[in-house]
Amino acid sequence: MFSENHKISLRQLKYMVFMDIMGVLCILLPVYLQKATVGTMAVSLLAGFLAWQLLAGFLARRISRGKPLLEEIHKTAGSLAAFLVLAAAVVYLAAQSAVFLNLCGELAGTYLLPETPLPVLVLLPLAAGLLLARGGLEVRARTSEVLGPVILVLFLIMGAGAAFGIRNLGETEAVFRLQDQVFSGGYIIFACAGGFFLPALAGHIKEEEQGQEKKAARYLRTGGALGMLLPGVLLLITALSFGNGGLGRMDFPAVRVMSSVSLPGGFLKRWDVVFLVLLLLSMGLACGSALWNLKGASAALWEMIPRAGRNEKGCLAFQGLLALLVYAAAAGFLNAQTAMCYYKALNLQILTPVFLLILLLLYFRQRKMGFMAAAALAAVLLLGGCAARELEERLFPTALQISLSGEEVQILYAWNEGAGLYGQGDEGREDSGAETQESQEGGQGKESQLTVFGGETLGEVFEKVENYSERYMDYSHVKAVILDEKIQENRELKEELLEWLAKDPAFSANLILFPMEESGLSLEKAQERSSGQAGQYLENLYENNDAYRRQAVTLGDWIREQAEIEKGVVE
Amino acid sequence: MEEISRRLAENEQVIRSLCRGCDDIILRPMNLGFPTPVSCLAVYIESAVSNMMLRESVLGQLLSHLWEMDAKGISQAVEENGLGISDLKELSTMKEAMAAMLAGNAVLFLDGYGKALKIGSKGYPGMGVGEAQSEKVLRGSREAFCDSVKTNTALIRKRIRTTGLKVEENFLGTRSNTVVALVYMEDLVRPKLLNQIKEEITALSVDSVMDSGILEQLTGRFSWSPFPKCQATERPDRAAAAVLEGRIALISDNSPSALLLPTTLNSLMQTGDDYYGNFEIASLLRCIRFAAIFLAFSLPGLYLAVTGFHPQLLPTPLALSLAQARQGVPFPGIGEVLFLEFSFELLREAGLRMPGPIGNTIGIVGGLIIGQAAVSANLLSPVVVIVNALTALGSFSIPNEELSEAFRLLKYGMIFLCGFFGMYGFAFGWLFLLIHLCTLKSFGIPYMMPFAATTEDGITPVTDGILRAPAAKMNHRPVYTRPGARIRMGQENQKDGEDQQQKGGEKSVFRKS
Repeated sequence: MFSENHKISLRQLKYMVFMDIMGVLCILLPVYLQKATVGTMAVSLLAGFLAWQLLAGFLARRISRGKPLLEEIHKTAGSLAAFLVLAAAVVYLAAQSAVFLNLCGELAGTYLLPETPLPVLVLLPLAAGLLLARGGLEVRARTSEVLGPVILVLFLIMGAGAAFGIRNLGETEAVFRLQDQVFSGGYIIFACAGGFFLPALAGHIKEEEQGQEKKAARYLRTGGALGMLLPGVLLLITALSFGNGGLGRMDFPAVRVMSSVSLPGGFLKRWDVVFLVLLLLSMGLACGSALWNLKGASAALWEMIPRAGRNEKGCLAFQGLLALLVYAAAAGFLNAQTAMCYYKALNLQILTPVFLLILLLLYFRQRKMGFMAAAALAAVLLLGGCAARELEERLFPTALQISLSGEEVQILYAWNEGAGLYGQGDEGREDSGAETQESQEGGQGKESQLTVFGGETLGEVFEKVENYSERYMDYSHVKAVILDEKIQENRELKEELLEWLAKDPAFSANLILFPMEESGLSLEKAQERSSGQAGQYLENLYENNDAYRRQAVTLGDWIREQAEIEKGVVE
Repeated sequence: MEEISRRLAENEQVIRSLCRGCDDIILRPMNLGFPTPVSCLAVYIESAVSNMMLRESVLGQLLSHLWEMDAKGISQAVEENGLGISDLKELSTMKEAMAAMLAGNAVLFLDGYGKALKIGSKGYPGMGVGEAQSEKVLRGSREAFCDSVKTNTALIRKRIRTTGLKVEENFLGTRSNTVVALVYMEDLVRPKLLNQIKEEITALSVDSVMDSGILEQLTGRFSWSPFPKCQATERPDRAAAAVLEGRIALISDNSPSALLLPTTLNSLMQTGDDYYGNFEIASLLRCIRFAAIFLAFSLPGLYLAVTGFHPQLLPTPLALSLAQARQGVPFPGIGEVLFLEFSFELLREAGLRMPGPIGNTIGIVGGLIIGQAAVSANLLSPVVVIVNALTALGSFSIPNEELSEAFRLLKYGMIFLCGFFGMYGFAFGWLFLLIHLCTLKSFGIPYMMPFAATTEDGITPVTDGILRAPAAKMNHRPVYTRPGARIRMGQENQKDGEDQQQKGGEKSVFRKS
């Protein structure tokens, strides 16, 4: 009855393709194409998309035939060729699994859990991947079918929000210039989407839908189009927001661009975390695909080994060893950038061209994946520890002022009014070198707090900030920074500051930067006028006052501008 | 056991030896007939059989008729059921006689007659048809199943008046011999499913079946999943509607609920009055119920993730306000949430076990006073109390109790995941749940139908998912129905129904879609 035969429908195939591709491309494309202009990216996207549409037709024919692919390889090229292809497939799939797991862990480590070690972070997607691999093709298909429409709608909403946040395109001609690497960019996009072993699904489509080549092509094209176009459009939005240089400064620019999106009314601030959840769901499914393919390929490979092939325990040990190697590679040896470089070399330059021509059949066999998944989950909880930091253990500055006073760099922190939120008593402040400024609000007798940290370098200042309080300094609610123009003239200091603001994911891309002298603003005055709500005051000033809005820039704009300036200097 | 003897003395001896020590089983010897009386023996359970002498009871009327006959007349009346008593049935073996007697009937043995007579009686004492307690609806029938399988099957028969409705009785439990009825529509049920259930029931070897819950756990493949594979209902209209969708209803004696199988998550989230009102209201209520799943499963975890890891998601005034509210609370966030959840579970259990007024009072005392006192004493922050209350409301809004309990259980996993890993744990917690739900099958039907997977005939009606289509558009039966019998509205369906009536259900006309 039903799907006891482990086959899926074409509709499920469509969502599987979409979900597998989408998350991974959102991460890979901004890295692989960071040096391309927006114009080049757009054309590359189109080229890659068209190439995919052609491939989909070919794949559809293969998939809808329903013949096991390994048999065909055996027939045409012999056993040795089949063995070599399977061995290459195992290597490729192991690397793919490791990279996907690593990316999940690095995403979480950068944005969500900076203090949790990577080996622990990788365990969660590993557990999800093993669960999916154990459940088989049907479970992957059903999970994709349930999640696909929800993620599609949310992605579109968030993408629209990010697009509306682009305020300044910069130099149009430079931005949209076409470069020589248009077609290589197209190949990159095509290969990233094509390297998912879709041909291996031949023989796994429901009987009633076999032979329907056109229908299969249509569904494949739709799934692939959605999986490629959405990340592609997001790539364009990201490039327009940060510029090429800006893309290079951030680890995951596609996520960072969402930090500038928020719901009207301020109910849900910063959609980068929400967008991350969508990405993680998609990447979790991609990990499941990679591990499922690896399991099948390794089982098929093991069977081909003379004598040993009949030993089931040996096969299990082999698969276990592969899983350990994948985990070790994901957790121990790679950071995100290195992982993506290796993947580019292996996938795009070596194996995708080969595997696009060679089709594999993957056997499914249930093993003790559920136990391994449960063990991974248990290890996650035992080893992870609790990295939660309660709200009352954090300090929330709402605005900063960064200025040069002679040779000294000063950073002024504005706190919202409220008991116990300033961190320390007088003794502590003396030790840390901070000074607290109090200003009286006329007539009401209320006090608002500012704390200034000074030092010869930014590093010195940050050290003082760290020693200021036993609480954690959380910059996620900083709404505006008043920046002294003198800092722009000090190249080293400017670079250091830019690095800090760009790298730290706590600062949202729509953080407002006011020029101090030009605007005439100061944090003391802002705090006074707003009764201790300087951050909100400056934010409202930006939104409601045209003059201030013309003077100020967002962090994203500033990063892009600085990158363009650097490019002009270098070129 | 052996065949029934023609000699009454032998039968009596066997019965007395079997029923030794059973003081509630009455053996009443009597002589009936005139002028030559025939020796008889009536065997019955005292409380299950009405007073023999009452003229209204079948047994009483039978005896009074036989009293006036001669031996030959008695013999003829018994052999040919000349009295036309519909409740009369002949039994050939002592085993059948004992089973009939233990089922609450009276059994009459006659000297010189090689069979016993089963005379239907009022049966064991039990509660009558009452009002549904746990599945309350605003509109629709308020009848509920009772403890008697006969009454329960009659309640379904009342709603489906066709011979296509089959009721097969089985005796389960080696010691309890509980009657379990299999109720289904012959032309709608999937034959493979039916055969599988029949085989499983026949193969069951268990001491007793005290409730349908035991059947639920013993049928189908064993699974560690907390999600129910069958749907329990106490409403006959619900059971009848399910049977008309091609599902099977298992009704066990002494159990006031029927098991409907197979089931899906979508079916478990539906209530009876979803179909009795406007489709817009029904759709809205269903959306609210699915949102309740989100609250019941992940709200505490989401609270922990946002406050412990990602306060940037909160508006600044709210973040600062929450931080101030938590000043002085000695427990970490995860500790607060677990403490309150545990307290709530204790309250719930205490409220269930306590009799009526005390149980209600415990809810009020626990919820208001203890919660308020804990906040005042700075043991908990007020927000956690609100989060816990919303979680509880979400849990209670899930219509099926077992499904609600499954989410209540899994919620703790989510609390730990989010408490340790923030939104990372939240994302993967949901992914794990979805993977698990997509893995589940209920007697071969994927649990996530109609949201995932398609049927063999390509008809996957989405007119009855989270949103409900207008009644006139709900032409197709859901996935449970066998292929070829999916149309349930229109002229084609009318023709099918007429054919059913004419041919007594022997031949079904299926419409291939």
